[in-house]
Amino acid sequence: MSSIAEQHTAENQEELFHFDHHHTDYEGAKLGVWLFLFTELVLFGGMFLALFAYGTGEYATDFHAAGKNLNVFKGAGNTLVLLTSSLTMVYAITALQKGSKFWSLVHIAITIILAMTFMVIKYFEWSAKFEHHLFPAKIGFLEAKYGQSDLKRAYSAEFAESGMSLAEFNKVKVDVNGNPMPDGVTAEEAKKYTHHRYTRGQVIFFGMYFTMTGLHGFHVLIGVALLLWMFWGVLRETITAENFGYLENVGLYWHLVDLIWIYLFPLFYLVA
Amino acid sequence: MSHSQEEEHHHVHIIGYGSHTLVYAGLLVLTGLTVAAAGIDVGSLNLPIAMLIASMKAGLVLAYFMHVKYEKTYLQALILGSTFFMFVVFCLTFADYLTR
Repeated sequence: MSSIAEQHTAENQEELFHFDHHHTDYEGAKLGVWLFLFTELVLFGGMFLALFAYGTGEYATDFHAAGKNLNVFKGAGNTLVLLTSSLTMVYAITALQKGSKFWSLVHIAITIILAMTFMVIKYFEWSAKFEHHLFPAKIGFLEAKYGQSDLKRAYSAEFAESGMSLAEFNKVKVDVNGNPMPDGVTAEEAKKYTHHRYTRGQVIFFGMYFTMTGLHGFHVLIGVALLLWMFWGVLRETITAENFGYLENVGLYWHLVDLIWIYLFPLFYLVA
Repeated sequence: MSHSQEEEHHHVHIIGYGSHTLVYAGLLVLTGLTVAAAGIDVGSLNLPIAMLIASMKAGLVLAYFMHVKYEKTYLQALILGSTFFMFVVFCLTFADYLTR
């Protein structure tokens, strides 16, 4: 009884809304992706706001000094890689729209390869930082252990124990701004941390660097997963010249990843 | 159904390879420009210049690669509106921060 009534309503609705099982809401899907991109704008926007605030405020000189540690060539190289991947992404869409499945697949594949290239360059870049004892979260170690006020304190006892001349001692026991290191830094720690005595501003710079490029890199990896999905879809012809909404929307996401990098690059790599 | 889909696809604007390549060339030029501009020390103007060039690049990517230029007015208004309010947040924050 009730099932007949339901069936009836369903039939009426079908008539009323021209319901079709194969219908895809092209416009709605695109709007949905854009709304998601707006949330990404807020996510990264908040971080950019913090970066600007720290970089133009009391830590401006620290940011300037810390920025010199970043490799401009790797940064510029990654900019070229991402820009090119954006081009191959739009090529993939144009190819499909013009009816060439083959060239669409080729361009999606190149986009994936370029995305992976970006991550490989990022890997070498981060490795170089790790070799200089720049780790996410770990660079604030000494400061967290001894506190900022202690940075100004002399440590005559350790100097006496060290058996070094004052010049020698100062060479290994001062931070980049010439402030003495705090009391209680053992010889072991001093040796380990000789090359990375960073001021609070520099610790913040690298904290933001690892957070923002890390989150961006995470977006690149998600992009790779989405692009693999698109490759599969075009290959199986579920994404075609008549139905390319998915590919176009993944393209929008991929260009946003490029957009974020367009701002990250000058702010981190060219700040010095 | 098939009629409405045809109608929909009639409005799809296909951007050719040539225009895409041209936009890409523009992006490369602007990237070179931002690296070159960073090498010249103009003090406090360096950051605004870098941001201006980055925004020009962003504009190119948005307009052509993300085909905002060819979208319907309501979507353009949404995108412009969201960007504008983000800009307002930045301005209000710095109006406070820089005048302390």
